[in-house]
Amino acid sequence: MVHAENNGTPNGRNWLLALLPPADLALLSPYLKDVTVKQGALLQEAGEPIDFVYFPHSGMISVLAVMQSGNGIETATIGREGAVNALAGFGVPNAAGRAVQQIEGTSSRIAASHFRTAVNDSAGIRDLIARYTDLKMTQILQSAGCNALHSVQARLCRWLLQTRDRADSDTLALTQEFLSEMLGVNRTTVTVLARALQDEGLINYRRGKVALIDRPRLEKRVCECYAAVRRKTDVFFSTN
Amino acid sequence: MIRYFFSIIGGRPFNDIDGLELPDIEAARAEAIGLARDLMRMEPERQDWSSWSIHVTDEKHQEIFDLDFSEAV
Repeated sequence: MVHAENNGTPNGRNWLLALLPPADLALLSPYLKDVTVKQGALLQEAGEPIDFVYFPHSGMISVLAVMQSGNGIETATIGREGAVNALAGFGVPNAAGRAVQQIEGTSSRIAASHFRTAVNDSAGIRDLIARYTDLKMTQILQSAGCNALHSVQARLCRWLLQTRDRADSDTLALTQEFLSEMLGVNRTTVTVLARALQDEGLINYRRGKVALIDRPRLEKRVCECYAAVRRKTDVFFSTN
Repeated sequence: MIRYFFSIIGGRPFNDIDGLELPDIEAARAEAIGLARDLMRMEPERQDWSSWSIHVTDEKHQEIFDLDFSEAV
């Protein structure tokens, strides 16, 4: 995992929590509880009150914008570099998006009320969450542009690469349903697109199990959005 | 649930070996229409889709229906 190598943060720990000095971490630690969340679990419904803030140590969570029809489209993905519902620390009562666990993993979660108290008591935590929110905003803006402007094929490549960065394996247990939702296309369309990448020798694909077999060539096929978000994330964690 | 297979006939043939579990033929028709629309949207510069269709079969390779792309516009 290149991010982790860049800043010396050990794998298996949330990078935001790892950035906090011991005194700040001590404000959170008594209330943090590790939870393992299965693939497909709903962590947060859009528009509903925020009960918990999650700091993932492994796995991946996606945040979706939800339309009246109930359909959603990806706006951001969060792994060990981030947090879900962090704005609860500033008193935001309800979540803007729906958060779904896409790859099983472990997170430390804290009740929103306890997190808010810690943010009020610590300028360090407040500052980190404000700057992390800016980083996440960058990702959301990039996704908005990408969803509107880039080909579905390029977006699929972006998905595979950014998921690979959060997973610890070249084999990704992404369901066809998940990719269909992320890309805003039908499930069979996902199969057609994935098969095309397989025919080119970039991936192996079978009923939702994706294995990356030629990452350098995938990186040539992906839109600029993958590198843009990754660069911002690397800068964030190498300068904080 | 029934597993339906959606193969593309036409410019870029695609033989569906994965299939999709769906409740009934109505859901299969919706999937075929959605697939045709996705393909047309992904290639807006192509004008003529008249020779393209989606061939839907079941697990016994029996034909369920054919959907011309013109029906999905």
